Amino acid sequence: MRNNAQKGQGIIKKTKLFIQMLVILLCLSIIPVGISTLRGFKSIKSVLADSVGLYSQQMVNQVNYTITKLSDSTNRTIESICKDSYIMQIINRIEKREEGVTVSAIDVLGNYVDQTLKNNRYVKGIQIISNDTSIFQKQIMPYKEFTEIARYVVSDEFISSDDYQQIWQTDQIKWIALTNLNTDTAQIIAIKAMNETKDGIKRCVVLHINEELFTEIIKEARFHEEIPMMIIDQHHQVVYSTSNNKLGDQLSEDKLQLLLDEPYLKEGQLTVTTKEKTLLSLSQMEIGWNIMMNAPESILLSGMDKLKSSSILFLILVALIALIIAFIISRAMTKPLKGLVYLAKKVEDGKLKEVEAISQEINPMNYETAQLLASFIKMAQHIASLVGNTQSMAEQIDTHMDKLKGIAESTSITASEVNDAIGNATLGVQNQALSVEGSLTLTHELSNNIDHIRKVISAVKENSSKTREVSEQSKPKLIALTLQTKENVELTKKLYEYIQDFGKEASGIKAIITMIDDINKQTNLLALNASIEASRAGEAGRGFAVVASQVRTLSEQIQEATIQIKKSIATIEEKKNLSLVEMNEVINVFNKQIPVVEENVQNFMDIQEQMEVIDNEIIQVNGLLTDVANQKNNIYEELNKIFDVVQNTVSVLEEISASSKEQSEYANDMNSMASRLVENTSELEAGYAQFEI
Amino acid sequence: MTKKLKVILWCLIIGVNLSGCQGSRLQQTNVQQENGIKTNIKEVIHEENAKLKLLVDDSMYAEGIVEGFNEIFPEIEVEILLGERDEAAKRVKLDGPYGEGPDVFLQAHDQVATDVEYGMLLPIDEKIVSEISSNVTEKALKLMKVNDTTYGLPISQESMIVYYNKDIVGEQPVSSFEELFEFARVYNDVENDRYAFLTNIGDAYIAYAMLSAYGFNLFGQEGDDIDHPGIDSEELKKGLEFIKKLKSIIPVSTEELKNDFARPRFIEGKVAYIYDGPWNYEVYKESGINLGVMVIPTLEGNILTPFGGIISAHVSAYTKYPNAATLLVKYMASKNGASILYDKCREVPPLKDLYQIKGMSNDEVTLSFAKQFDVAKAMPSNKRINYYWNIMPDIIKAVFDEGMEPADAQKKLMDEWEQNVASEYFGN
Repeated sequence: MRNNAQKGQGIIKKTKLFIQMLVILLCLSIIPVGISTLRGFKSIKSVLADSVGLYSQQMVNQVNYTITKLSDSTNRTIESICKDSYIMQIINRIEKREEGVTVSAIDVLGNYVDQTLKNNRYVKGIQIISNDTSIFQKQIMPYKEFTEIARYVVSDEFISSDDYQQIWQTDQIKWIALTNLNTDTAQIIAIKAMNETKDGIKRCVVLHINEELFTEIIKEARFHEEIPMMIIDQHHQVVYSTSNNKLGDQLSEDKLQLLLDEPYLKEGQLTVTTKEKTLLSLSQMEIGWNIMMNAPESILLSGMDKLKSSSILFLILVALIALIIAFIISRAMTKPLKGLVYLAKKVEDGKLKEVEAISQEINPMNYETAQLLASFIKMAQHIASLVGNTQSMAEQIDTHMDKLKGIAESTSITASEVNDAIGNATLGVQNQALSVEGSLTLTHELSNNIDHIRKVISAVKENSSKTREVSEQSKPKLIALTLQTKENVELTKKLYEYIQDFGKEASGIKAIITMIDDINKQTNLLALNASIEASRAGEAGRGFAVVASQVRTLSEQIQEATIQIKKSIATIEEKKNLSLVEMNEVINVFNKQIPVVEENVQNFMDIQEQMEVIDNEIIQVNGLLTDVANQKNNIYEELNKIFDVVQNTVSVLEEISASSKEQSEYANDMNSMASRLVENTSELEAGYAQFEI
Repeated sequence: MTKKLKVILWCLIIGVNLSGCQGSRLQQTNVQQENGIKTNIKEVIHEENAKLKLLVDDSMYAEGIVEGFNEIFPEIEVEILLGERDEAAKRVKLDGPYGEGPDVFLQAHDQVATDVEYGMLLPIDEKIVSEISSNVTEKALKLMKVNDTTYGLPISQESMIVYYNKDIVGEQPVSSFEELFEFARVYNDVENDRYAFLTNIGDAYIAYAMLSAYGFNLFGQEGDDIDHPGIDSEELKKGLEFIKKLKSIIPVSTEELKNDFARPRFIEGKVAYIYDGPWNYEVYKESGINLGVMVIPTLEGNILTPFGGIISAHVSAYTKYPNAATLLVKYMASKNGASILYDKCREVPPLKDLYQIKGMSNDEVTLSFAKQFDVAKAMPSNKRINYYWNIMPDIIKAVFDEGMEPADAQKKLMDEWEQNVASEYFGN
């Protein structure tokens, strides 16, 4: 099944478009017309057959009517002869069989019947039979069969026949067709027994009927040579037929017997279509005969058939014209397609140069074909240029392939190195970030302390002022002051320590920044290298180049940040060192003051003076502290910046790390791709080698 | 198509069967030889134990025929009935229906049509007719036909002829009536019963030659144009004038002439020329006169055309042996039959070539008869010929005996003829 389907499909595929179009056009043009025509014929045929049947019955009835009139007239003649007493007298004289009497009586009777029947058209001869002897016979009109009929009527064959025997038993006139004579046509006699006379002689009158009337009637009635109209006697013999049937045709007898025995004829239906497709019409005559018309449908409807055949001829003609038109249209439609197919074949064979020349010869018959052709030509051109480009590109690729391969390999290696370096850098930066975070906290604390110091110093200042006032006012207060001063010394010592710690942290930051700077310089170099390599890798390396440049920018920003940080830290260190010196001096002063205070209240004045100095000094310190606080804020800000940058750096480095991993993978892929590309390029070369551009 | 074929096939089969069953009349030689019958190819096969009755008027002839016929068909018994030809038809009519009449009989051809009307004659098979027609003249055979069917075969031909007494006229008889009239003026001597020319002029059969002198042709050339008998013609009037003129050399009444006036005087040698029938040839020849036979003299250069007739043989329609009877008729019409006729009766058979009969070439008389028959008009046998027979004798009598003007006589003839024709429509 499947095979068949495929086969079928295969056939459809193999069938040319041209033939398919032909078939479609033909189907459209002929089949509907053909079907409707044939259907029309069928219905016309049945209607015709019915009406012809009626007509046929009418015809045989008409013939019957005519013949009946004829036979009636003849019957009257024979009746009158039988009743004629004069004739009877003459017959008696003839029967005497005396020379003189008999012969003259015969002549007299001859003249008499001549005169009686001379103007009739039905009786052509007469016989008087007396005791089975033809005592008188006379032609009324000349016909050569006369003697033969006359002889037959008194032959043993006829005398012993049922027909002859029957005439004595009835008063009826018997019509008998003599078909076994050696004559061209059947001969008809009408026979009637004469009234029985006392002498016991059996006499009958026999009239020879002019059969030409019968033949003329049926000949005139027939409407077609091959449709026989027949007169059939009581023995179902064909008496007359317009066809070439011989007399007493046995065939016809059998056939007619068969037909007459058909039940429908017995039922009185007198026109039927038999199984043999003939239209049979029957009319029963009074003399016991039948008139039958046996019309083959084929002949009855021959005109129909002629019409049919002429119509079929016409159809064929139409089909032929349709075929020609279909042929032309199909050809017109498929010719450019064929051209296109040819073009495609050329393209398939790689002969692109010929395409344009051939396309000039193609005459597109419609819009679609024209479009198709134009598109096809463009396509061919594109293919040509593409093949050209591919060729040159392939050549370039070919020449650079090995290099690319090398680069890809080296990139692969470098990438893994970068990867490792960046891994380290990231780790470093991450630590740095932690340190910065710590510094930040410290700085914050420092700042708070500074603020606190400032507040304290402010308080000190206030207190010193107050002390001074107090000292001025009261010396007792000086002692409190001295106590407070001691506390100050302690606090200042603590501050000193703090600042010293701070300095240490700043140095740590400085070291870290230096390290970042180093790493950053290295990153910058790597990014530069990567961007160079990426530019070499062309399109594939473009993404990588962007990353590399970002890395570089970041690296530069880091550098700038580290410089700033360095500067800030340097300043911090400077100030720290300064504050430490001052602090030391403060402490020293305090330390010197305290024994003085304690030891010499007298010296109180000095102290007061000293206190003024200290106050001034404190103002100075306060100013420094403000500076430090300011510096501290700067540092804090810078540190925050650094922190952000470091955080950025970390994420960037992580990205870089990931990217470099990808880069490494890319490089590997690129390597394999390059290998494949080499293979493909060789294939490509083989491919475009087919094109003749 | 197939139907047609079927019909044709059946017809063929039936045709064969029919011809087989009916005892066909025509068979091939081998079949005939099996039956031991000596006939030619396509000859008629006769019935077994056939017994024929032959009615003729001459026993010598009859015996000759039976003898010759029995040489070929010894198994066919032929009984001879002697009787006048004119009576033959009556015999057939009377005895035929009862199977007692002749099977074969001879009669004059003009009787044929009537016989056919009464169904007395069997048609002769056309194949036999065409066989015979190679020997027999067409003119004779034609007279056997009624409506294109041949009902008999011609046996002998006869026409009126002129006998003369060589002792009176010498070896050079007259060739024209002009000469005859001249001769008559000299020779005629009523008181001594001497007449230059005599004939039974009152007989319409005999008078026809004279009536035809100027071209009168009864019922036309074929003798069958019953509606145009030609009696109204100028030719007939002139013919009547000739009849009237003849009175000058035949000073005898028609009545006397009718009563055998001429023949005894010719035999006595008192008459130079006599126009008479061939049936008297033997009489004259045996009378001892120096007999000469010549065709009828011309008149004003015109050839006179006497009536001619054919004696024919027929098969009776009542015969029980139609095939045997037909064979006999055929034999009578054959060359053998013709020879017998000539030998026994000196009658002239209607043969195309008379010289094939032994002794004929030296017989001037017979050849003269034949010559005369050549120009003779076959006696019509149509149904109005009787009007001629019935009316014409009176007309001739009126003109010849009573000197009636030919024009008046012609008018009388026409009137009577028309009356007869008119009577046809009222019955007799």
